[in-house]
Amino acid sequence: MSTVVGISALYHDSAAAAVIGNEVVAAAQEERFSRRKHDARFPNDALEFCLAHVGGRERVDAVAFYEDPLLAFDRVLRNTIDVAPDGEALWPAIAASQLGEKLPVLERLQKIAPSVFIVDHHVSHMASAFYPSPFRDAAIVVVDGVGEWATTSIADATDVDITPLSQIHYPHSLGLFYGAFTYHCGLKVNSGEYKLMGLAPYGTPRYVNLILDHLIDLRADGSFHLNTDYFGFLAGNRATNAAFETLFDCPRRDPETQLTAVYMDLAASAQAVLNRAMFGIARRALAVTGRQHLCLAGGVALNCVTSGELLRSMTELKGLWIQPAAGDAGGALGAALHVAHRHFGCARHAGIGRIDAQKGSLLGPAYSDEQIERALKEEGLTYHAVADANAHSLRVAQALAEGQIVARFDGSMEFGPRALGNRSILADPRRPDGQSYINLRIKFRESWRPFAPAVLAEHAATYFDLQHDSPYMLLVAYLREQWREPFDKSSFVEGDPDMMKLLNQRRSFIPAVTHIDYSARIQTVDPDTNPSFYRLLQQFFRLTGCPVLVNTSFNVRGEPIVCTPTDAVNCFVNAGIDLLAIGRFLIYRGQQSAAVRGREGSVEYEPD
Amino acid sequence: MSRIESQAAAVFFADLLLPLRRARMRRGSTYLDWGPRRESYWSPIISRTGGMEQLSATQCSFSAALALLEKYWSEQNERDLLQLISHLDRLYRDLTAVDVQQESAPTLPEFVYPLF
Repeated sequence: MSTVVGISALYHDSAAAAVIGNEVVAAAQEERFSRRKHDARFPNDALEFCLAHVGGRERVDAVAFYEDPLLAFDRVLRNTIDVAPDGEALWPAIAASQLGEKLPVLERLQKIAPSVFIVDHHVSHMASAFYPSPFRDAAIVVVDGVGEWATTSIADATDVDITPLSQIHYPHSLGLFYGAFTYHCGLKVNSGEYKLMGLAPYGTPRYVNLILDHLIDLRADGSFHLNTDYFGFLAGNRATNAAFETLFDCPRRDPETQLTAVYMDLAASAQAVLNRAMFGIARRALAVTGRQHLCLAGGVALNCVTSGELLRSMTELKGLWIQPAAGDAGGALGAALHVAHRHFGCARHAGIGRIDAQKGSLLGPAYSDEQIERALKEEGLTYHAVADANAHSLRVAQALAEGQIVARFDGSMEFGPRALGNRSILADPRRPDGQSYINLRIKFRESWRPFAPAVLAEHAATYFDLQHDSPYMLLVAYLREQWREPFDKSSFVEGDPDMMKLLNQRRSFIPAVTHIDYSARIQTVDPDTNPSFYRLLQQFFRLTGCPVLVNTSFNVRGEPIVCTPTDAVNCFVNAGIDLLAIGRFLIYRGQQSAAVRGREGSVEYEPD
Repeated sequence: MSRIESQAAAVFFADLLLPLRRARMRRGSTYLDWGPRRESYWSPIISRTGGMEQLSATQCSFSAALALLEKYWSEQNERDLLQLISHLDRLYRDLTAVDVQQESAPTLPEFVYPLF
């Protein structure tokens, strides 16, 4: 049986993954080990984790890289020539990066395994979206910033065959389009896009026509073209330019200043245009392939507002599966799977037609109770061991029902940007001040950022307009009408920038996870995928009658999600969390020494 | 990046890329699609490898990688780019052979993704 290791590296979110036969056995992002958010460096630690998982380097038959570095350089070089003399100041850094680091990556790969494979960037994404999916055949859509040349791809897939059909090429990119608005709104490109998505419901999409008239040409067949007169990324120095600012009659927002209505409206408009563009591409993909199932990957596939909209609006769509690590990290997994299926001839996974093969995306490191207890002792924490799993989760559920904020560390770490219960901060969503309290006091982040609900799968359709499972928190759906409560938006709409007036108003019986437009980024939790997290939700439901919990990642702003017990302890101490449930242990903040409690807020990370 | 590295790259830009750009401008040719509106923007697949490529141990060095790129450009009949091959090899050697401490980190703009 073949063992293949996949690597994505040197752009952003580097990662490693391991596949034995057709089974995904391990995957992790480097940032979790290095503690540097979106770490792009070669994933040495993630690779070591994967190698340990497969039994050592000598067991590896092949290593697969998620991109053709030669073709990527070809695109960068042609871009540089086309825009010269613009870009002259940046060329030395570009050359150092491309020639000094990216092309020589092949030599590094050769040290991992005797057989080295290069898989095209979008083929890696396609493989990550299709092979683990529950579909025997599907259309595949990949949309991201850029890989080598492709920014958008459509493919047809059946069994182990993936056939790319058509592409849209750089510089015409929906990822870079959305990134430009992210940048203009004072958020970080490549990490702030999900903030822009969360900001959009606060605004009015009043710039849609302006965008369609000037920035992007959407065609009836789903293809599109950017007007590069308004973008700065071709010369590498800015995402937008002066013409962009003139068009919208507003400068780029200083990241340190307050968000005002114009930026909310820009966010709403960019989101609306993205939805429209993605709808056209998805419809085209189904039409040209004749398939009824759709697989999505690429960074834009993480836009769960768009994906939820696709499911609601495309009646011809019978099934949608999105790779949970849809960004570049997932390319490591896709590259490995592609080599396993296409070179080593592995058959598809046994769950076709029933379940996916992503294993709940719980593919990262796990730690024993002995390792956890060692970390607790090293930090001098007072802790309780609760051996019985039911009793343990009941005490956690009771704490949540009392309004405490709980950090949960259990089992294998999630692969992908979402915390799905094993590295999560949890809270009672009924708490009226929940959104702003957790944002400001626990996560040290912007008060307006929405939180996601984890909901018992069997109750999801009762509360949300969602007909599909969403185990990976990749779909946005709306709270059903009967659960909505009216609230006063008038002062805010008139331009009052004080979002707290809105956030602290009750919008439903679960206000902490009900966004301003009654939407929610839902995680459905079933007993098969994550039994212990399901049990906790069930116990909370029995205590409170509420089958929903706030689920946000176990980290603070700017910090990667915790990986090890030591990371978890450090974040618990720093973030003012009431209870840490880690392995079979419970650690209550109130029982800690004054010295430990005094460390709250002592560590700051660079804002993301 | 050291001053020597920076100078080598700057010379490459001034002596090779800039004249190439001017020559192409005179011919009215560009690499990127800056073109007018069309009925459809869907394009054929661009791939050097057909999607996946297995490399032998001897194909993983920088020189071997450059040879693969040269083969690709030859197949594409990219004469302008082919002229750069030997200079790219020299630039790589300049960039990697400098045995001096880093004098200053390269100043990267906030938005660098597509070109880095």
